[in-house]
Amino acid sequence: MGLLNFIIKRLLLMLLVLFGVLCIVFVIANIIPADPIGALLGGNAPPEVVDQYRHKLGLDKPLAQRFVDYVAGVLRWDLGVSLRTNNPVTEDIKKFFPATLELAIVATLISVSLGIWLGTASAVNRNKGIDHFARIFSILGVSMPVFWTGLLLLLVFYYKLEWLPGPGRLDIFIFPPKTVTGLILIDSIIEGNWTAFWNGLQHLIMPAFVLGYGATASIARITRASMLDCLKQDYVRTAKAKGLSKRLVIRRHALRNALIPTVTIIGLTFGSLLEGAVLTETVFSWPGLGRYITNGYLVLDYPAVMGGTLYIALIYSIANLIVDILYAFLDPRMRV
Amino acid sequence: MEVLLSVKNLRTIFHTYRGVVKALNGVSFDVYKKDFLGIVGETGCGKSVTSLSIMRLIEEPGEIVEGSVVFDGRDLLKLSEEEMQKVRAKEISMIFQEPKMALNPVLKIGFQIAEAISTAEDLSIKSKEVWEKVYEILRAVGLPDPESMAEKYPHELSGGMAQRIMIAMGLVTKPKLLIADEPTSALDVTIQAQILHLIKELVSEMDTTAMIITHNLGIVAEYCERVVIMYAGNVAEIGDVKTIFKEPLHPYTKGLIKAVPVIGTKGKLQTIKGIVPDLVNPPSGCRFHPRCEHAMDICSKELPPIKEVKTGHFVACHLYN
Ligand SMILES: Nc1ncnc2c1ncn2[C@@H]1O[C@H](COP(=O)(O)OP(=O)(O)O)[C@@H](O)[C@H]1O
Ligand code: SF4
Ligand SMILES: [Mg+2]
Repeated sequence: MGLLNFIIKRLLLMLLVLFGVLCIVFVIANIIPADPIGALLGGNAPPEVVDQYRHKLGLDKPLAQRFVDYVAGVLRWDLGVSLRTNNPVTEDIKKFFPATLELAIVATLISVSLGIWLGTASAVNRNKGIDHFARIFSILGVSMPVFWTGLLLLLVFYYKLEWLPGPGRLDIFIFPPKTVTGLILIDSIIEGNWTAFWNGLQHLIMPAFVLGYGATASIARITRASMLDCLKQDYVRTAKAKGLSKRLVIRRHALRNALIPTVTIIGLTFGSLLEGAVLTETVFSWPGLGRYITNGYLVLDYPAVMGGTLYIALIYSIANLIVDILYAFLDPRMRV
Repeated sequence: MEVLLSVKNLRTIFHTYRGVVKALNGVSFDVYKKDFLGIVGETGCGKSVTSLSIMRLIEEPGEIVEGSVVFDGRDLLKLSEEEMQKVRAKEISMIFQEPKMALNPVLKIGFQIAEAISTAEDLSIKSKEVWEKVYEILRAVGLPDPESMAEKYPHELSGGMAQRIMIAMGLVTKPKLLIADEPTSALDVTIQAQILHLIKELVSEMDTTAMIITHNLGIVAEYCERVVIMYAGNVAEIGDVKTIFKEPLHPYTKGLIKAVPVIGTKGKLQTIKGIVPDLVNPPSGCRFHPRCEHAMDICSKELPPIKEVKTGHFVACHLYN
């Protein structure tokens, strides 16, 4: 009951946020003084052709009308046609998003598990070896730019050591599995294609680690801080006084409380993950939505940029909703 | 009388940036079986540190540096951590001052009680046996509708209810000793009496032993049979509550008793002159000497040993040497 109300409230809020994003994206795309027609046809195109294109793209209509049309389109899941690929933007998203999603999921898995583990281990072994290591690891994680870490890892593990494969989602000689979900790991499992699975996994490790590195670092720091705080709380002393083993005191009593702030950070870092995907995908030639949007920007392909951005905002909101629900689940005081 | 717990010469210190806090300066006292013992003293005199030292729950930067805590024939300070966990699970329970902080905010209270039972008796936390005991003890501590109570989270409870939960959690394992550290200091005055009554009633019903820590002499007078008076990390006096109130021997105890407001009298309340000493640089010898009217030469030089002046009446003061 309480939880359901909470979810409905959050859903409504999410729609409001998405509408806000839509407005901002629309305004930016339509008001900045750049000329997509000029970019498309070149500066020397005859005026009739330019007019014809303006009409075709609907740019001759008044701004308000265009906005209404666009919103109506979004509601029908029609984001227009990309000027660069000539495909409906929704088709392009369908094609490019799975690569980004797969990368983001693996990055999240890596950063959440590694971050929580590192944070807990360094809080429990405060000022010992693992804590110092985690500190250095985290400082590097939040301060090194994504493209720099990416290039460095490529240089070491691909170029020098040849331990891991380079750019792309699969080696060129590997037959990709039939597309069902668009996630190579899942599709390979469905098909039972273990060669592709193994190869896809190897391709994922570096970009996913690079993408999740900043998040891993923040999660580790937050978890450490909140764990240290929780370990000082009265209820931890009660748990010890009950005769629980150290392991149970940490896992059952301290960690669950410590994870409450961590979960918030995870929600926030998922946003930075999508944002970081643009750079990571460029460094690792990863054929995802981030690269699609970047390429769109370069040629002022507004439908692609607007549609892609809106879609990412949608995914981001959904992820945050999930985090909020998780939060309410972890902390009963939030459920009222 | 049979001794259940014998604390001898207990010294616990804390390493802080200001220096070493000499919190316990050789504390010694005995707890007898079926005792209802009060431990009193001003805030900061080491009552909590004493109880946490007995439970071996002193954390960094604290350290127990000397002494013994013989409980039921074994020195707890010599046990391994695993053995000590068993003692905490089955034999000694503890209740704390801030009941709402002492309960884990993210776990249902039924679960928190069940956890105590399952740890003590090595049963699965999901077993029917455990949950029957949970409901039974909830009823015993006077909480209505145990089934729905067990489903609640600590933030849904009042302070008094939360303390009843803590009592339930402490007594459900049928411990040999219950240590209650200021169990009512954080509660409303009206609730205080209920909680103390409840503890007293359950402890006597279960034929077990309790150590009630408080800074309130009134509570001692009303509920306890024997009392240990502490001052600045030392035991000043031990005896029957009646004897101590009628003929206190230690100058500090005398001052304390005079400072208790007596209902119906109009006389000015007496307080003990001076301030509670800083335990980083405590006074030498008897730590009370800067505030003591009877201080002699020896008082600032030697720590007075604790001596039995009459049967069951102990005092640590050079006046009685
Ligand atoms: N964690 C700690 N760090 C430093 N000093 C402490 C700590 N815990 C207790 N002390 C010191 O030990 C002394 C006794 O404290 P405590 O036992 O809590 O007093 P109380 O009798 O009020 O329960 C005090 O001087 C206190 O400052
Ligand atoms: S030992 Fe000395 S200073 Fe301490 S209480 Fe007795 S008389 Fe006073
Ligand atoms: Mg205390």
